[in-house]
Amino acid sequence: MPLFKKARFDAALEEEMRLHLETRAAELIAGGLTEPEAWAQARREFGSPLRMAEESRAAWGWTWLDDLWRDARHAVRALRRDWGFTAVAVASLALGIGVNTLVFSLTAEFLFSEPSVREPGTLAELVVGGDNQIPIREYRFLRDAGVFEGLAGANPMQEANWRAGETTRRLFVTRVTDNLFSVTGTPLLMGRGLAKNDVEAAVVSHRFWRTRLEGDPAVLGRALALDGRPHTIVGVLPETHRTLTGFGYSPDLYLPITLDRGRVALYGRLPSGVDHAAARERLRAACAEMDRVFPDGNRKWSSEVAVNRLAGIDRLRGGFLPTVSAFFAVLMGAVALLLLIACVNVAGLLLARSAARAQEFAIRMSIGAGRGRLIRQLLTESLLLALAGAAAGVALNLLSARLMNRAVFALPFPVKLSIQPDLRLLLYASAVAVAAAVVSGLLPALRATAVSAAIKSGERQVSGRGRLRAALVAGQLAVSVVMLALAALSVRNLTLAARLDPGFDLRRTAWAQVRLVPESYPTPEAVRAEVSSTLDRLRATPGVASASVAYFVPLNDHFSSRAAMIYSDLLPRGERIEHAWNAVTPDYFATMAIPVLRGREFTAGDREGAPAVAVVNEAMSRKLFGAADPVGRRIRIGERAERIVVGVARNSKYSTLGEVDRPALFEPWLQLGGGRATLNYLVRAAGSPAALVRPLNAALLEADPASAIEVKLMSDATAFALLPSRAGAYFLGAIGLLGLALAAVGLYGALAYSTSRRTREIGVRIALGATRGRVLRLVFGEGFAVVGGGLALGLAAALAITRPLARFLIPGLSPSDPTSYAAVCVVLAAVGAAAALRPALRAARIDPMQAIRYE
Amino acid sequence: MPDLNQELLPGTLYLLVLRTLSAGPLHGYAIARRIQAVSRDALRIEEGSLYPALNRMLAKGWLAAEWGVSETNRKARFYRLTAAGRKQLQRESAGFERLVNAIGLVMKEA
Repeated sequence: MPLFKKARFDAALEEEMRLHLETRAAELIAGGLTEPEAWAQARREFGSPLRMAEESRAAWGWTWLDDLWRDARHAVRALRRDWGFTAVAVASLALGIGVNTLVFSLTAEFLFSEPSVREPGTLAELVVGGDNQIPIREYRFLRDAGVFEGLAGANPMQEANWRAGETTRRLFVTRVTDNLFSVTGTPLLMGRGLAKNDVEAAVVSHRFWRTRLEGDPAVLGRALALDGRPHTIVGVLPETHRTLTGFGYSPDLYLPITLDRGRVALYGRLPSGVDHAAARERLRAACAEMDRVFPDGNRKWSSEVAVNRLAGIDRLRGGFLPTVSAFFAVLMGAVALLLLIACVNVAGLLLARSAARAQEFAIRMSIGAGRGRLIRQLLTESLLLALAGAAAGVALNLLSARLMNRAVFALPFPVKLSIQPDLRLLLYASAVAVAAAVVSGLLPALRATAVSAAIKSGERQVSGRGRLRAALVAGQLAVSVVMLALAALSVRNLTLAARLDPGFDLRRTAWAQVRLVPESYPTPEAVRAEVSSTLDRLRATPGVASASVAYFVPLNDHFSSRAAMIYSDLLPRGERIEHAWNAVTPDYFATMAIPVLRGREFTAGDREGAPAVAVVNEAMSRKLFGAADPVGRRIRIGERAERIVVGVARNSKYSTLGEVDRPALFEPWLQLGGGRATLNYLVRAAGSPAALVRPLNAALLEADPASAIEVKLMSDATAFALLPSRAGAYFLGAIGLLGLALAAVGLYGALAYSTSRRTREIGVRIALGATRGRVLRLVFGEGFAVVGGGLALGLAAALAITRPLARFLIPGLSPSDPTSYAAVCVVLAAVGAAAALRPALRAARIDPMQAIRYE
Repeated sequence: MPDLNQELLPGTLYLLVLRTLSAGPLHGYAIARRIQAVSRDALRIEEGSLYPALNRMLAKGWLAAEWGVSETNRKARFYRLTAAGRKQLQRESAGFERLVNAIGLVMKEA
């Protein structure tokens, strides 16, 4: 209600009231009363002017706005008076909300962000034949089938060698069809997207432009030497560009597809008026036609067809994503608990504060303020607190988001997050703030007004409130025990994982990743010739004990997983076995220091033309041959030719540190390899591998100056394998500590409050001869009772809640790991003692004389 | 004094105010006095509920208010019936009549 209108209304009402009282008083005086008596009676008859005014105003339906304004002003005054309380409450909420919004933005960005395209709603990602990538020939067929307004293809995770001066660098490239930029409508910072007839043209990412091309404003038209050929830069992407691939994957370059090799992911623009389901039917029909035109015995393109949305749930199906989603779910759950603790903290503080204000409420209720009105005012106060907390939290979030956006992740491909403050975040923060206000404000408000009703009737009820507070704090401690248990488990998981034996040597090995320019090595034979001469060169390098090449480097590639029917002499009907697969050159097992328990490893004789052979690990041997010696026996994988087992290697880790006794199969690189331009050289040093990095680089550069070379120590290269454990430990550990800190503040507040309430009682006890030691024991006892209750409750809850976590933990670490739980108990007891210390000392210092006089 | 005001039937206060004002505009205190006098002190309106009721009736458009001068030469706010208020009075009196008759019947027969 407009203020001037309200003022006029109030003035009118007051005038009416005065007239009423004056007239009545005059009548009473005429009836024989003295003037003060007459006025007193007139007032008594009139009743509460406040309630009258309030109800009159309510008749016009203005009051809530008016009350809100007044409540807000009142609340600001009240909060400023108790600034210590306000600071703690706002800080609690800021942490709770800040961490919640951060995890929300991170989850939204990582799992649900939309790619930078025009009208993402009508752009779809296609799956045909159960595959989201198809060969170029099939792509062209579908493009020309006219199901979509435009059908484009992209091949992410490609690479190119960029030669700049003396150094050659391996860049990450997404190769795209000539219509991709026009079909998707990807916005550019400058220049244009790739278009028809572009052959040696490139669009560069913002990060690449800034860091590698010095942010050159005249970059358009500049040439990049990629794989030995000059490419002209035609466009630069904006900083906020999000790729179609999603999940933060951010290649350095976009290049046109120039060869009819490789496969592409499909992106179709829906024609107007056609929804995803209708497009799917049309696509299925086109695929059925394709099955007729390009018959392929093994698969039907029309079998599994899907037209998926570019963002949201559609994207989160299959592959490694359930695990990643589960990780984010755990994270969201943990920060929700953190916010709960923060809310309980604020509720506890409000409750303590309401005790101090009981008098105020009693007075206000006795002069006619309604209980609803008082509750609303208290809610306004907590809402104001929550909004202040939310504002501080969002500020915290913006700050940390900026740090996150700049972060460089320990992943084998470039990932860039562009977390933007957005409407969803604001909505989320406001929702969290309002929920926080209601949760942390309602209970104290109800208690406060109920108690003042009791005070009005002459009773004092304090013990009940003390119990409620103790229960709140115990609950809070219980929640923080759950969070601490999560934190302790994840930290212990990390320390154990880091110490886990991968089954191969990390101390003496180095890894050189070399990418050849594919055009210079047109055939697998050419690659093999290059590899064997390079291996000779490496072996001749001083300090090198042995060298080999592997298709996959263990713990660095998730693509080495295979599942196939495997048959053996002793298993003629075959068994479908999920296993790790690798192709390696001679000396691989010697280089990695993986013992070959029976038979031999591959030799130079195991080349093309020689009998096909294989090495299996112990787990695979047990599956295929039981206890029998497999050396010399035959195996067959799917429909491929038979191989003779020549050796059994000890089990080691292949994809993750967490796997246990996973079957593995090795085939000779010399019989298969050469199809890939990226080669992994593994080198064993006679001494320290760090001293080998430089000579290896030189030797490899000498072998092919156009190749892109990265040499690292094997011990550094396991960082990727530890990333999930590390991320879990950092996040959950940090959240657990924050939760503990908040709960400690809550416990301290509760004890300080309770001691101050009992000043008089303690004074009497001291006067009656209680020693300081007894008083200390009294307060500590109260603290430990609360901590004990919280601990018991929390441990029970934690044991139940952490059970499903087993899938994230490394083998051998149980979710009910005694070490972790013991650590939680010790930490909580220590924190409890620390929180009780000050209140206990204060209680012991109480002067009985003063305390008894007090009140 | 019988404390009838405690037990006024709900909604009757509106009827009493509307009926009282149908004779001509009055200010708040006079309305209370008039009801008390006409009912021979049987009905006493509590001021705490009169003014909120007057405001509710203003808000509903049954009454209009303007400032004038009272019989004691004081500034006072006079309330009068509007056309809507007159219609409401008719409706409420008819309803009240029926209610009183019904209660009368029950008292006689039962």
